[in-house]
Amino acid sequence: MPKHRDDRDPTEELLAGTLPSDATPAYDRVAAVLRAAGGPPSDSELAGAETAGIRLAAAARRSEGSTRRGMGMSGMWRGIRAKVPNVVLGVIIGMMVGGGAFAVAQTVGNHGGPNPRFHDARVCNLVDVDTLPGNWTHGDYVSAVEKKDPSKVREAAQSDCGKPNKGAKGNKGKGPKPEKSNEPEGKPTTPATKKPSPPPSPTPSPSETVTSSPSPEPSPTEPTPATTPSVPST
Amino acid sequence: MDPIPAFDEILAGARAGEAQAFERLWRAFHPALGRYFRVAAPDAAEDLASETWLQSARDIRRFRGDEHAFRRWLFTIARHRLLDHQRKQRRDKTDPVPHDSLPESADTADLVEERLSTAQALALIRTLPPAQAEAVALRVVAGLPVADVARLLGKRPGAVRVLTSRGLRALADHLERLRLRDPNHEDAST
Repeated sequence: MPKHRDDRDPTEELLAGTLPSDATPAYDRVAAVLRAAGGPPSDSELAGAETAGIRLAAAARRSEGSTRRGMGMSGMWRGIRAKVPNVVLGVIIGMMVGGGAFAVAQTVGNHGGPNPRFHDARVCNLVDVDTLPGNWTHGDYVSAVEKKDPSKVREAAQSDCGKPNKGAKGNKGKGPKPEKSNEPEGKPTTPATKKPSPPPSPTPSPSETVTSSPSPEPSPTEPTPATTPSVPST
Repeated sequence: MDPIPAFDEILAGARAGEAQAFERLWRAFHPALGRYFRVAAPDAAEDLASETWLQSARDIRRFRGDEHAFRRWLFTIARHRLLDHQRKQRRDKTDPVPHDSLPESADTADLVEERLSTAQALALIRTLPPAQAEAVALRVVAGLPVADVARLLGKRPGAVRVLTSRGLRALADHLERLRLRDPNHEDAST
């Protein structure tokens, strides 16, 4: 056993295999135990060394292979960085960023989005809708009415003007919201199909107007469907 | 413990996956590793030694250092395997399997005449409280200095010295009791 700097300690001397001068006979026996515990290896302890060497070498080689195979994401990134020159990588990243910016610019530039909206000038007649920009929204319409005649804001807000037509995606595509009923929430409602259908009429009833998308050509005289005032959308 | 000749070459061979190099490492360190586990976890000594060797074989390419550092590294892996084993035992609530017969009948004459076998010596160390037994085993069997044992056990060097000292004192007391129990102790002590 290699000697250490603290070998002068009796315990350290004992551990090192030497008996301290002032040791009692009991420690003589302890020293014998420690010598036996740290003694040279027996044949049985060394049996199978050759097999162990072969197995450990195989394990080391397997580990080497798996380390090279299983690089993981960081290893893959390092590999790509090593192979792709910085200039090429810069161009690729630039194209990705530029493409994203272009897409954003396209979306922003198309005011009101790509979906068709209810823009009937005969219904939306509180202002001259031809002056509103592009695919103008309900918010645009209400704002324009407010500027022209603030007293008609409520009427404008309750109209479907500028709202997305039926068939568009998302909540906006569902068209104008139906009129709020006073029934308590959760109460089962009778399906619309089971309602006794009113006699055929050349003009749609208000309820039909609410549940369906704005008719392309509603009568200017019929009452506008009551909707919840929505936050002006952009 | 005698230094291993041409350790660097052996290590380089092991890193390259040479069976002969691993065999030489195994011959040099396995007896100590096995004895350490026979003190610390006698019920799973062989399994834990195998796991330790396999782990070291898998990681040997990352190891850098001399023979002393390798010894410390190997026993660090060994202790981690031991802690895993003890954790699993606690989880499974399994009782350790009784191992070698404890040297209740250790022949005092053998002690005096130093004919004590390694197995008997390890069994005597195992009679100590686990922390003391492990500290003594790491010092005596693994041949690690106080600083390394302290790092391995997560203790201060002073605490390791105290553990070892108390362990040796307890061992001395135990051996004294055995001697007194021995009907021939009068003869043996003479």
